[in-house]
Amino acid sequence: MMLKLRLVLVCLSISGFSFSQNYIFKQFSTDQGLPDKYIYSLTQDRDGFLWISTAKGLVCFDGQIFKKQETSKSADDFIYSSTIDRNGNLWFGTFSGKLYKREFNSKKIVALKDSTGTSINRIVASHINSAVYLLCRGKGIYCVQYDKLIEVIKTEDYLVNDIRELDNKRLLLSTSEGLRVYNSESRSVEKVEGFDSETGLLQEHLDKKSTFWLNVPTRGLVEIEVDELNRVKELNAFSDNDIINRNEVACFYFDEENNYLFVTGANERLGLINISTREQKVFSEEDYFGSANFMFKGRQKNIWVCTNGKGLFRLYRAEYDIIPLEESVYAISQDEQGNMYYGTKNGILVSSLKSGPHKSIKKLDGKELGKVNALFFDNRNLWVGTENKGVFVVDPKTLKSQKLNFSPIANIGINSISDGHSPGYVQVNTNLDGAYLYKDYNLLYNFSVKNSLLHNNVYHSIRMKNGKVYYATHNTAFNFSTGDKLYEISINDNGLISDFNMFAKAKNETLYAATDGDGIYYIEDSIIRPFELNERFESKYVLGLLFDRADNLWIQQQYNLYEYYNREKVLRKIKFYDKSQFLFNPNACFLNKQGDLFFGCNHGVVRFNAATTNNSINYANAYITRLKVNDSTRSIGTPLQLKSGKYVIAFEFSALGQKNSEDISFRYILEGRDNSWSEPTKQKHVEFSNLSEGNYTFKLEAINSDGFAQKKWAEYSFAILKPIWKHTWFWIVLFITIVVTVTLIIRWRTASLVKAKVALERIVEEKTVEIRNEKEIVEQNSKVIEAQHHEITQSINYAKRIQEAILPEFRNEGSYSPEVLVFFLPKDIVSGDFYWHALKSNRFLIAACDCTGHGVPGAFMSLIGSTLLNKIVLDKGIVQPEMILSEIDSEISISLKQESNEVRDGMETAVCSFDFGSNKLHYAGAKRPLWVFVKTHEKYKLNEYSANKFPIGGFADVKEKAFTAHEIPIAKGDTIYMFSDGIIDQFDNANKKRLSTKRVREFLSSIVHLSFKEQQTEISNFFNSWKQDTKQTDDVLVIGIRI
Amino acid sequence: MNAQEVPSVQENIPYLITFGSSSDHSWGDDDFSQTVFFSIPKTQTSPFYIRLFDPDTGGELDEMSAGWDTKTKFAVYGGKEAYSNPDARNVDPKGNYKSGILIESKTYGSEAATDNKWTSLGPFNPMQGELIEELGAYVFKLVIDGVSGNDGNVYKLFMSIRNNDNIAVEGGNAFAYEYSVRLPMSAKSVSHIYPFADGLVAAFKIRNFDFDTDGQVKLFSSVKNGHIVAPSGDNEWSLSSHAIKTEERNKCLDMQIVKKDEYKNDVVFYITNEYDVPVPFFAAAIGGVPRYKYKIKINSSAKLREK
Repeated sequence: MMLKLRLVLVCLSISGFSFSQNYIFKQFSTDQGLPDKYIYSLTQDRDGFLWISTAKGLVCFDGQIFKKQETSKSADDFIYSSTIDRNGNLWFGTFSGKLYKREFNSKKIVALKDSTGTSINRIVASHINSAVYLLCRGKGIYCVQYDKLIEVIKTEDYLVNDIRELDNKRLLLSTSEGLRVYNSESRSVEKVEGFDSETGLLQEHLDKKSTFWLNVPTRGLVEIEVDELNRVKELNAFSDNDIINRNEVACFYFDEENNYLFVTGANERLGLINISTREQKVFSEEDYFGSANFMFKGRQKNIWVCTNGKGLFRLYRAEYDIIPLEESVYAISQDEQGNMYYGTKNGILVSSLKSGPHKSIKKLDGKELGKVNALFFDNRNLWVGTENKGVFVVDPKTLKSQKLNFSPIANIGINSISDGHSPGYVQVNTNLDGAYLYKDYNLLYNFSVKNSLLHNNVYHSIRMKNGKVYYATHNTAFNFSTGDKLYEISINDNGLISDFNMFAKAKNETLYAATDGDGIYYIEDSIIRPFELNERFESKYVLGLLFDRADNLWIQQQYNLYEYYNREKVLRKIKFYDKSQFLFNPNACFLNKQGDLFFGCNHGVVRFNAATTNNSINYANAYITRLKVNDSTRSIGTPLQLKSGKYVIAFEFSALGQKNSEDISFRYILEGRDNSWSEPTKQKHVEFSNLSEGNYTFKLEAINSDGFAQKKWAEYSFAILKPIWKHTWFWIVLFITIVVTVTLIIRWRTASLVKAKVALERIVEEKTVEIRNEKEIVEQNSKVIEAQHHEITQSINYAKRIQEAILPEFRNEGSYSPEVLVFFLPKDIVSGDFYWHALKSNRFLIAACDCTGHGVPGAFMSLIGSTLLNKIVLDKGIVQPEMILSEIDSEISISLKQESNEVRDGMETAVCSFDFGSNKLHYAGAKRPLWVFVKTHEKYKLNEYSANKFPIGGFADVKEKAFTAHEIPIAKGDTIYMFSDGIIDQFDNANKKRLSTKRVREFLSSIVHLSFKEQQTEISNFFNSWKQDTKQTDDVLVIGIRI
Repeated sequence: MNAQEVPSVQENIPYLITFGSSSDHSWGDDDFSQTVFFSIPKTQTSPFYIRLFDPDTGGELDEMSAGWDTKTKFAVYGGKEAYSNPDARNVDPKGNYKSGILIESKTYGSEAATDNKWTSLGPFNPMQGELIEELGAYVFKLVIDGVSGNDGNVYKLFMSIRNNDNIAVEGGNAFAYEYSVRLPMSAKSVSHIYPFADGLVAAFKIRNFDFDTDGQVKLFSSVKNGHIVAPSGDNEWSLSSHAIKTEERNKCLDMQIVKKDEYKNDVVFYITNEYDVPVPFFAAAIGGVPRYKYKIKINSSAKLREK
């Protein structure tokens, strides 16, 4: 039975601002890479790049890097305005009036030939066609279509501050003289009634035609609607307030999505106006202070503020906002009207969806509520579970309440209140007495240890579709109930040792359990498993779990919140930007009907807006900015094929991601070399070296600040070619080449040989003919020679006879004739050696002569010598050997005219004159010695008598030739030898050794005792045995004389 | 010394004045136009504002003819030729005196919002000015035209780094080639104009309009001790020539206007060199306010007495 109790409601104003949308500011200036601090406009192209107009050039920003663009060779860098036209082309104008276009497709920047001659203050793209309008102060409005500059309106007497298209023939002009409408058909300008003083910036509603926000310097911001008759209806206005200071609006941006106005006023502060609630928020001077030129909202929902001298500010809306309550919140719920209820230590705070102060319910039934641990709305009434005051039910419309029948145990605390096993049943979970089941506010049943509940401290319960209610208790196992029956699920096998704090169920009815020290577990197909990313949590103590509308799991810990993207399997930690740390309370999480998520903490509630949390993921898109091969930049647009060699290949890259771009990381893989992706890194370059030949693909992906890797990576393929010798075709070609070459060489050689052979045969033939002819000649000559030789031989043989005729014969002529031995062996037919003998004046004279040369010349000389000896001895009667030699010498010199020519012929001679009367031998020699074997007692002693060292004749330079006379006593039996040098100089069979004087001396000594006849034979044998087959060296003459 | 206030405190001229284009010249404005240049050192990178005091025509300060109907346009020019075009430096609004790039323009009527208050034009980026290397500065031009009506608009200017306060730009200066001013009310007040004598000038030709012979105009320098400048009468010009000596060159001279009677007197001044080329007046005298150097003659008897 419901007890109608009086509800005491205390309404009081809670300090704190209910419009608490969080924006995070970041300032970009020259320190971050902008070329200048003056930013005049900003726009975003279809690829997502931001294009920033600065006083020092056009800059492209991908979220990571500011890159200044080269516009033209001139230093006209003062970029004043920009826009993107309907075709995606970027237009930008300069302070000096130059207009440039960056074509979307070609990405090339081209300058328009025509110039406005004055600054292009603003460029507005047509929504109807591809035209852009240029606003030039002091000159008017131009239109650019098909790259031609056309003057639309000349406005020298007023300034056009902004324009917008009303339709395809009307332009709304905001001018220094107020609003005007230009009609392109009539080419007329019509003033707009009620707006005849200066008006400034315009911004249109995208979803409401001909409706604009307009800056009116004397009035603030006005929302207007222009009808077809050019009449303006004022819809809304914001005048002098904290932001629109003195009605002066420097710049504004209408955020249509959120229905906000971002405004900078004369005080250079930035503020935010919620158009719906008219609430204002002025951002801190620490966040923003400066004069704004332009504001822009990018596709990533960041608000960009371009300033004069302060660079660029980026505001992005934090995905959460804080409902500051100055009290810790332990429970959260929502009624059907959308009012939010927050359980605090002093009762309940109620917040309507509309602005205004929160209501506070501190007492129910005249009693202090104290700490409210649980709030639950059952479609009609609000259940309030207190820490020690029991359970109440409150009607949110009438604010009447009743205290429910409850546990008899005093000071029992409520942990949570949730659905029972069927609609209309409510489960109240206590800290000491298990769970109570109610139907229609009447107590039905108490689950406790008495009836098999595992523990009486029940933190939380959850109802599944099948009607099972699971209990999270102070135990390592848990129960479920169906109706009034309890079942136990044993999970001890999983090593879980911690309590269960809370359950949450996914859309597919998978049950997730938050544990007090073991992270998260989930139950699927009646098996409990640990959550796969438990290790990623900073703490394993999980206080709460909640699934949002997108079926993503929110994990609440004491200090942290996580979101687990169920489908993508990505876990991200929520980044809080607030200076004070949040302490989240157990079980204090809630998903309202709008899909917003609420988490109770130590100083209020952190709320995640469904619109921002469940939005599509902002993937960052990596792209390669530069490719370098051995420090030389290469075009990325063309495929790269490198010849075989050593290369260092470097990639520089960035990522297009305007949300939390500072936290973007990269990972990459070089397919063809790597087997796995690199670890995430924030470095924006990588270098590869020592790459062998092969095909490579560099793949790059960006991971956004939430940990999501982009779905399609950027890639660049290149190849390092094999060295030529590693190609099969190379070997085939080489083989063919060799075969062909060898074949050709062989053929060529063969042809050459054949040719040479033919030539040779011809030559041989010719030579044969020639030789044959010559042979005939030779044969003829040979015959001639033979005839001549025969003739000469005959002649020489005849000469031999003559020579033999002149050689003396030794006869015994009494006492003057000793026994004489002559061994005479001419080398040729005739001899150069000869011997001579005469008897004169009782003397026996004998000479052994060796003329220069042998053969015919020697023979001639021997004739001369023999003749001269006869002449000197027989005619002149000279018998002294030394005188005989002198005479011969002089006679030869005269005969051969050696004084005047170079005839060196002469002869070596030994001359002996025996005087048997006195038994004396007189000897003189010209180079021919005399050996005398003196016989004494049948023994022979050799006395050698040297000759003079010069020959007869031949040496004309020897002026004084005095031959030595030797007088030698002789006796019977003495044997004297004279000889030419023929026997001494004879070479042996090997042609290496001469016979020599020594051997001749020993030989003669050995035979001297023999008779001359025997000696004749011995000498002949001796000589022939030495010479054997060797050619005879010279004429040989040995003369022996025995007394 | 505040170099960016026009007129400056040193000049002791309370306001500039520009009459509406339908006014009679005898009110004290020969051409209903005034041009003031502001120079910003090249090193200055922060934005600045040109602040206007009482730019509207209405209220206590301004000169009403027959009901407030005057509009005055304040237009700021920068970029090429804003200063370097000779027409910009002419004393009369002829030819291309609005040369350069129009950066901002505002026309004021009789709005109470700006009456007797400071308001701002800008902010401006110094780089929007024309870079004049010989001055080492970017130069901006403010052209004030009385575009309609027959009232007199009294106003002051200030080049400031704030839009809500008068804080001078470090190293900045302001100058003009013609001054249309309202002299102080009080009798015997002394106002100053500081024309600059460059290194080549041989003579100043000083002209003034509609002084109503309200006192004396004198020229001071280190060698001039109150050379009398011809004062003009009602609705007429006066001209007097003054030789410039070597000691006076590359400095400012001090032209003093000493009022005789106590009434509002609006006057026009300009100075040219001997070739009728206008000479600039600087809000703050370059090289300081010139002082006459007295030559003390010591006679011989005095010297003897000393001995």
